[in-house]
Amino acid sequence: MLPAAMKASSPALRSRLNPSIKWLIGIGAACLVGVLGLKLVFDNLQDELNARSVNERARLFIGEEIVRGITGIEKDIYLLAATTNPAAVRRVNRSIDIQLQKLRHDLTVLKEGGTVRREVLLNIEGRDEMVREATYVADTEAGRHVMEVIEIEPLLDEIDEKTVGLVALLMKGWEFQENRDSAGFLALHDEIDVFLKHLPPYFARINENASRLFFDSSARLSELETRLKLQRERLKLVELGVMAMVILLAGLGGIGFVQRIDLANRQLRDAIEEMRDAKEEAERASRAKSEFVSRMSHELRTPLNAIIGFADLLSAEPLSASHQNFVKLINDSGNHLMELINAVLDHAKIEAGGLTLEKIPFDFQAAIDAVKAIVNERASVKGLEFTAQISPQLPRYVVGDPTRLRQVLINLLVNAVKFTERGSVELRIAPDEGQIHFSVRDTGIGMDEKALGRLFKPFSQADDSVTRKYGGTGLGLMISKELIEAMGGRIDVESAPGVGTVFWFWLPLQAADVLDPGSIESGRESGKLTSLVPGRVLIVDDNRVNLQLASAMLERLGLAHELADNGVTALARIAETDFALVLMDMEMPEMDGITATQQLRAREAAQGLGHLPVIAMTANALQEDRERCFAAGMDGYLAKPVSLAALQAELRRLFGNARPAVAVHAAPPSEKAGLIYDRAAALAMMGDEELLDEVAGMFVADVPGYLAEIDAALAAGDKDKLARAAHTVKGLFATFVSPAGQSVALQLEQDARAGNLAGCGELAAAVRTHAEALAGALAKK
Amino acid sequence: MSFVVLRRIVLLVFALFMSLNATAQSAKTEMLLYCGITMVRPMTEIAKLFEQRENVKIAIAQGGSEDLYQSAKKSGVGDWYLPGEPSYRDRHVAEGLFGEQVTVGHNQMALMVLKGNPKQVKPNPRELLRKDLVSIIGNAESGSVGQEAKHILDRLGIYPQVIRTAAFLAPDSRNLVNAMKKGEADVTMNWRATAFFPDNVARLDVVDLDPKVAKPQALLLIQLKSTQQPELAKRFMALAASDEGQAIFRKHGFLDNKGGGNK
Repeated sequence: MLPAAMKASSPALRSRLNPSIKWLIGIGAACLVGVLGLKLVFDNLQDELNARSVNERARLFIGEEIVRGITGIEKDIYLLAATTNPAAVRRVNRSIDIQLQKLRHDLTVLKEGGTVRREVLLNIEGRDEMVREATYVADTEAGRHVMEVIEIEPLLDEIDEKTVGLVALLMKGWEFQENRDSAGFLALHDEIDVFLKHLPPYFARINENASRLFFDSSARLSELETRLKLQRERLKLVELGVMAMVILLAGLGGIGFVQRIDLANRQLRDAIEEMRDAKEEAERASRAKSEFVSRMSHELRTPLNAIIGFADLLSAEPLSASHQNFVKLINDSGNHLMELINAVLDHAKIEAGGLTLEKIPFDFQAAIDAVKAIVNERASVKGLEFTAQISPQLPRYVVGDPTRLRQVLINLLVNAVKFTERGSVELRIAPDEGQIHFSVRDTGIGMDEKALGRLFKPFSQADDSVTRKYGGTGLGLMISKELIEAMGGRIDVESAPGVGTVFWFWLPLQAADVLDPGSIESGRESGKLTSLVPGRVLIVDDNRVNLQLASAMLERLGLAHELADNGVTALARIAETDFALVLMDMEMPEMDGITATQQLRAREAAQGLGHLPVIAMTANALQEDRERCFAAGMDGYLAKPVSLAALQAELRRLFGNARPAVAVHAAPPSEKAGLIYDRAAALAMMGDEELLDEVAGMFVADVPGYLAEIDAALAAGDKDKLARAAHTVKGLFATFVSPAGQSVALQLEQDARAGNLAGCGELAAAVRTHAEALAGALAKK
Repeated sequence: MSFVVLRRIVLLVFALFMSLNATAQSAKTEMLLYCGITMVRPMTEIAKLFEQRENVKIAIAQGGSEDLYQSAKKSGVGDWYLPGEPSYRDRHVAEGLFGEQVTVGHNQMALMVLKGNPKQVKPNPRELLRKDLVSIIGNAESGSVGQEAKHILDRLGIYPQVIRTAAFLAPDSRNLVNAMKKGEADVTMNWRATAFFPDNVARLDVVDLDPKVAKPQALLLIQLKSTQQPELAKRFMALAASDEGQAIFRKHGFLDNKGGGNK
């Protein structure tokens, strides 16, 4: 329900936000295109106008050259009139010709385009002349007339005629002079005067026409510059306008965007609200479901226990073979149903998200040993070989959830045993790139591709015939997969029909930082403790063996002590007598150690009493247990099995100016895995063979009671009672350094505490096996 | 969209815009009128009127009638030729440049003096030879005003004397007027209409000559065979010869094609 709501709302929000962003981008892009477009248009216009201005200046330059040429020719013609011999005439004529050629060239450039040069003489030292030139691009627009060319060109032709005419007159004059014909010479002189009189209007006309070019070009240039100026002003205006438009659009866009964001936020809030409601609803539904499943499981389990119990009783009665068979069927069906209920409960818990994984340091080796003990028994019953290859490189202590790890391993291994008729089951555990790699291999019936595809799905086994033949809930693998994934790992499988199956899984279990209990110094200075502990010690424990053990240890240390078997009694004793120290167990009937300590501290505060040191002495060896103890106001902590040395060190720490606190953990289980218990280690811990024998006798006498307590709690489905009973037995196994028994009892306690009753039957049976074996071994001694 | 693509699109739009603009401009045909300088004012007004009515632009080459003819001949382009007097048509008709013609008005020579005739110049061309007057005339080689003066003075047999007496020769009627206005001469022989131009009327007066001496000369607007737009050319000639064109001529001091005008 929750994911669906989230899925439904997210695209909707995105789709509401997207148009805003698209609009903003669109407006921005449009403004950019507008600005760039106008800028380019105006830049191009300006460039064109600039080019035209440059061209017009070149035209003016050509005009200047034409005027200079005309003036030069006019000057030369008058110079020609003053010549006195043919050589001078030729020289002036050449000058006129050169200037005429240049004039014609310049006019052609005006018409067709090209470059016009002017060589200017200089009187600068080192530089005699300079060249000015201008390149003109002719106006090629169709039909335009180049008026200067049209008007001036024919006049240039006349220059030739004028020059020829003048030269002819001059030659005639020189002839008259040579012939001494004064009358002819005078008449010719009049003719020359008239000729020269006609020159000024002629050159005036050419100059006028050339000047018209100036006027025209200047007018054009002026127009171009005006247009250029206008364009610049327009560009500026456009830029300002565009800027204003951009600001306006950006502002509007921004307002729109903010409004949309606001809307989106509101919708998001609504959606979140909706999702929260949905989540709460889902959680309520999930809780209701879990409660229902839990209640139903309990309700189902109670009559089921009766069915199984009475079936057990009935099976002990003398019955006919067929009735025996019926009873066996009832028993088997009941057990299967119980297993199914427990699995359904687990699955429901995981599905409802109610699974809380522990992240605690635990003894990885011990957990594996416990699993091995269970599987080994099963395998040997079926005549299968069970091997476990545990890499020595694995850490002893890791951080994780030991209960769930054992659950997964037992499920896979028990499955492997179940589906293997002959051959072997193999467990391999090794480190793998920062993770721990587990593999469970069997030589069983195996599965084909189709069956593999159905694995890890609820109520799916390879096929129905498998279920009929091998039984099982069909939930185990799915729960295992869910647990592995919840622990941050992954699982894979490979199988071949008739060959076998191998399951792999990886878990990111990090090594735990655990101090070595061996670092605690031994108790040679015991005698001195009497002076450190100023008074009597109260030992509080509900277990007779533990009381006896602690009592013996205090005697060895020379400390006077009294006993109490639960929290209520202890508080009463403390009220009556002055004690120097309390050694407090955690798990006790009536009142547990935590509560007793809290009440003690409350009483001290209320009555202004002095602080009575309390040391926890418990088989709850986890870090969180330690923290609970100190949080309740305890001053020290000893994990069972408690060695004399550890007790001594803790007393020294508490009462003397001893070394800083050292974390004391349960003594490591014996490496001698084949032994039922490690007598030497137990003796080292107690320090006294007589005490060991005495305590062992107590254990042998009491153990049936403890086991009965476990069975009763299990049958009633009372997890708290089961956990407490397992806890007591665990402490006893620890006392005699019986690691296999201790591991199994620890697992039973943890499973019971976690409400994971599915595998508790198996564990209880294993505890019984180990306890009976230990009792047997102790009795023999 | 990348900047390059954006830039291409913008330039394409711009190029399209510019090409449309260029097309609009180049669509206007330019025609060319070779116009004697005296008639430039009325013809410019008529040309503007014509430009407004037709999709055409008219360029006017102005100068002395002979110079203009030579330009038309040399360049080989142009649509009309309007000399200051009809002798230019007669002189050059054989060269085959001319087509149809219309009379758009009349020119008549007169003596021109400063306003109020301070030198008491009499209506006789011989006054140009008075020793107390500075006289100028037009250059017969350049334009009609010199050509017509030469014609009148030749008939009176005094042209060589006048040439020698003249302070200088001017290329056209406008230069004669300008010289008078600048005080460079006391008397000149010029086309009488020029004295009635708005910027001259306050400064100059005419001393009319006997029409027998100075006959009104028809102003012929001649279509050139080099025209590329004969129909447009004809329409323009028709406009110039129409009542509307004649009114413009009269306004500028010319006698119209029926002999009416500013007397």
